[in-house]
Amino acid sequence: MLRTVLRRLLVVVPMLWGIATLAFCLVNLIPGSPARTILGDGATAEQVAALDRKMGYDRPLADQYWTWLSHVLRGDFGTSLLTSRPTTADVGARLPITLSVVAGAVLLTVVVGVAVGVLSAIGGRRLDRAGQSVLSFFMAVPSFWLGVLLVFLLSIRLGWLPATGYVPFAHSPGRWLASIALPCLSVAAVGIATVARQTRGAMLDVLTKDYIRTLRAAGVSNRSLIFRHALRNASIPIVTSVGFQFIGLLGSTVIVEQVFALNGLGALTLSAVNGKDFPVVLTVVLFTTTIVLAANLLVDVANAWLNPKARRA
Amino acid sequence: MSVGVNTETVAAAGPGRHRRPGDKGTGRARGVLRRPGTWLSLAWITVVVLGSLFASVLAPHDPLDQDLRSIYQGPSGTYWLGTDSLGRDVLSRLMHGGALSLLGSGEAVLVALLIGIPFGLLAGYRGGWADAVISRIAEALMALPVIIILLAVVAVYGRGFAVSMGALGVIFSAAIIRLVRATTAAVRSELYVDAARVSGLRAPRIVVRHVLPNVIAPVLIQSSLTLGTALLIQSGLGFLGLGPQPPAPNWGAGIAEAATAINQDAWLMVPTGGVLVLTVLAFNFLGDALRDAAPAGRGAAATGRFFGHRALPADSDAAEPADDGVLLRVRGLVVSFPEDGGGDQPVVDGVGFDVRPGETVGLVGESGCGKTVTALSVLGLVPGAGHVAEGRILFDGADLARMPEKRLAAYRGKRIGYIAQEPMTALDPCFTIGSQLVEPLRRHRGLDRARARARAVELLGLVGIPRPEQICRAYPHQLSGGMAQRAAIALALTGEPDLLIADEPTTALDVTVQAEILDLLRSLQAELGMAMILVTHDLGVVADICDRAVVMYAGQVVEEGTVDQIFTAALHPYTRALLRSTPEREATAGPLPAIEGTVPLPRDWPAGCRFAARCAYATEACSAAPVPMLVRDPAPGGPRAARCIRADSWKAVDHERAAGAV
Ligand code: SF4
Repeated sequence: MLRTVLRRLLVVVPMLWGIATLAFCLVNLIPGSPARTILGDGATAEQVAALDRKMGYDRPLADQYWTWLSHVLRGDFGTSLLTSRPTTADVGARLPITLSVVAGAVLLTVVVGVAVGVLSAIGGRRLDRAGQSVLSFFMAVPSFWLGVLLVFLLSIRLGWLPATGYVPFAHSPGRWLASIALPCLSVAAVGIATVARQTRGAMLDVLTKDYIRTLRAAGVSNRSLIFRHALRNASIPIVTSVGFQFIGLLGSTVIVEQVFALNGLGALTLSAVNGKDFPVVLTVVLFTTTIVLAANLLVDVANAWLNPKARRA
Repeated sequence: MSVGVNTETVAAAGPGRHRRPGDKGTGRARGVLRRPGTWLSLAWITVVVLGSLFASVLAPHDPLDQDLRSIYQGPSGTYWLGTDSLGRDVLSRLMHGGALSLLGSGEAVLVALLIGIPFGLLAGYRGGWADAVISRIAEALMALPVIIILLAVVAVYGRGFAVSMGALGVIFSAAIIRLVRATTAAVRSELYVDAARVSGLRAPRIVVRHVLPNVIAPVLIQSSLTLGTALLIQSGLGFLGLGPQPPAPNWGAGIAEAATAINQDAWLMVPTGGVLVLTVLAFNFLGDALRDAAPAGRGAAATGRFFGHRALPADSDAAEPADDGVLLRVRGLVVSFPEDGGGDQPVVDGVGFDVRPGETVGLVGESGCGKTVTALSVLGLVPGAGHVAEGRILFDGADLARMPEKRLAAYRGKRIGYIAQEPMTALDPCFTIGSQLVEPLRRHRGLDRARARARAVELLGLVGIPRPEQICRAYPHQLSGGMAQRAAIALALTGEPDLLIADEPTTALDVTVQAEILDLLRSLQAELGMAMILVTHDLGVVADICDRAVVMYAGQVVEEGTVDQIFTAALHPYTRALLRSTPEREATAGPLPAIEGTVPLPRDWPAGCRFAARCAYATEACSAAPVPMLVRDPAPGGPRAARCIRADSWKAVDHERAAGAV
């Protein structure tokens, strides 16, 4: 187990470095000067030169890169051009909101997706047909459109849940849950549909295996065959497919935050993008990449743990 | 919205089995074309593409034309899909925005293909360091938080879709690279096998002539799915206001506008979102249809009934008396499978035999004769959509064929045990041997966990496994084939059954291990006094441990008798042919004469004797009418019978021929 983690880390760390470098180049290799892009066409040459000097954009690129990298390694990701605060403070303040939604969406995806998939696999032909059509539909529905519809129906028309805003967990767990319920649901819909499809396929595949027949012939009950043996064997492809969904869930959350006026990473990034706040953009890229890589690592570890052949090896 | 790059579904269609001439796939392709969804999807995509590309000509209104007196109008003759907050025609805006959306998504896919195909081919064909580097980069691309990266790209290069969709294409190329690489590597390894086809060909020509054709299908499938994903992502950017400058329409921005006006006019959400959903749906559907049509596709997963057997309706016919000491009496058993073109095809056709307590009966025949299906039908475990269509399976007087699944389930493991052919796949790879034994032990014997555990260790010792405590904690993959088969036998014994059905229990094992397992089965039977049905193609195995043999051919029993009778005085030419192809246990010198020809498929079964086409003694009479089972001796211990009209005369033909040859 520990060796799996270490082996994956050996891959993940250079990958993170590569992506960081790529992101750095993306921002700093703009045609023209970054300062010109930041300040816009209206700025005078002196203003541009001053900002160039202040941000170090006038120094050689390799020089800038090393300074930036050594700062990042020390936890200093730079200062926001808009708020003049450390970018990590800005990102840190918004991260809990986004992560709340993402975590809730992942949970929904796994629980509902697997349940629907198993039902679809064992529930008989007619239920399966109907389920398949519903799932295909939800795989094509954009999360933000679904989010708007949910707000309209459940919040504005029925008044069941708050339409907008975020309540921190520490203030009131109940209202926290209510504030992220609809965002989670809109983000998770695609994930649920995809994972349900994968689960169905994996279950159908496993249920035709020889060992299911031998265990059945030995008198193991259908319930145990489905929920203990088949689901356990199907769990590896299921976990992998959840891992594939993670990037999508994160991206959807960033967009859906706008629908629910959640002040998360999405709002921060959007304002940084519109305000050309490159240090903040870079920091967000690094943070989210790290989160995705961590999630991938978790999937790898889970798979290694789920697979007895890999576990002992 | 799915932003992750979904390769795993397509990958299944990619590597491994590549297209070869004569592959049958056309039937499935036709089936896909017959689906209405395929046509609907194609039609919808055509309408959207034409409507968008020729929007300037076809759109009923100018998309920017405001008419503040007619805002938020529902659908009407003038405005088919209504008007928005500025009184602009929604349909015209969708058509004009569509061009942008489709071109952007097309751009992303095109970039992905232009990068993905060459690099994938290179990685898959070259292997080595090129593969290592390219695969690593692809892996890194797949770990990128797509939306965030695209936002960063917009921050640097400004709004609009041209650059961001190109960047999306670069990210998506990772999926194409992986797909093409896997397919190429699979094709290449096959090409090495038949090197003759490629000798003298240079690498580029091999790639163009042999590899590319196989890559096209999976890439096409992936492209269709990717188009849908790109469309969703692009709309997301548009929704965030990162598309082109506002008055110009795009689909995502349209949804954002509709969202802000939802309290005034909820209808606006329908056309703006609907066109997107339907288009993505169509691309996804086409991708799925292509995958199902591809010859390398995984095929429709079997959605057979999992919940056990379909019981025959109960009838009042008095069952044959069961108190004559027979444990299992099978009569007139017909097992059918549904055919592709509708209708049922029997594969077991009127089989009958008896098994007495403590007796070992061999069910013998080549593969394709229906012996395994016969054996499985006793357990109510006929695979897939097959089912018992007629006949009786009387076990201890109760008709298993007419028993509801719930009651039949109670017989499995407890009264009737089962051993499968392939020991390495017969045990659940995710559970230890011990826990797989404990589960049925607790169920059958009502033991608590600790007792069941102890009994499991005992059982493993009984089947001759050394250090049973240790094996109890092992996973199946840690066992050798012989050990796994012993463990599988232990599993079959957990309920102390009266009847053990062993389906080719030694076929998959090494020769030395085969003898051990047969010895084990023999001694277990002596010790536990259970009856056994041994399914095998090997008469040597029958001679080793069976009391009686039932020979099957093409879904029927063709001969029945004691092992002595079968070996010394076969009545059916098929039995005789089987005997000839069976090695003497000790000396096996030279190749054995295989029986010429093959077992006919069920749909090719002739009306007369089913063995006639392969029989050296066939006469016209043989094919004239179905041959009945001719009983020689209805012995109480098991009848002597054969299904051959020349049972008495064919040996004489042999003598004549031998004489003639001299
Ligand atoms: S009935 Fe005729 S064809 Fe059939 S086995 Fe006997 S001799 Fe051969």
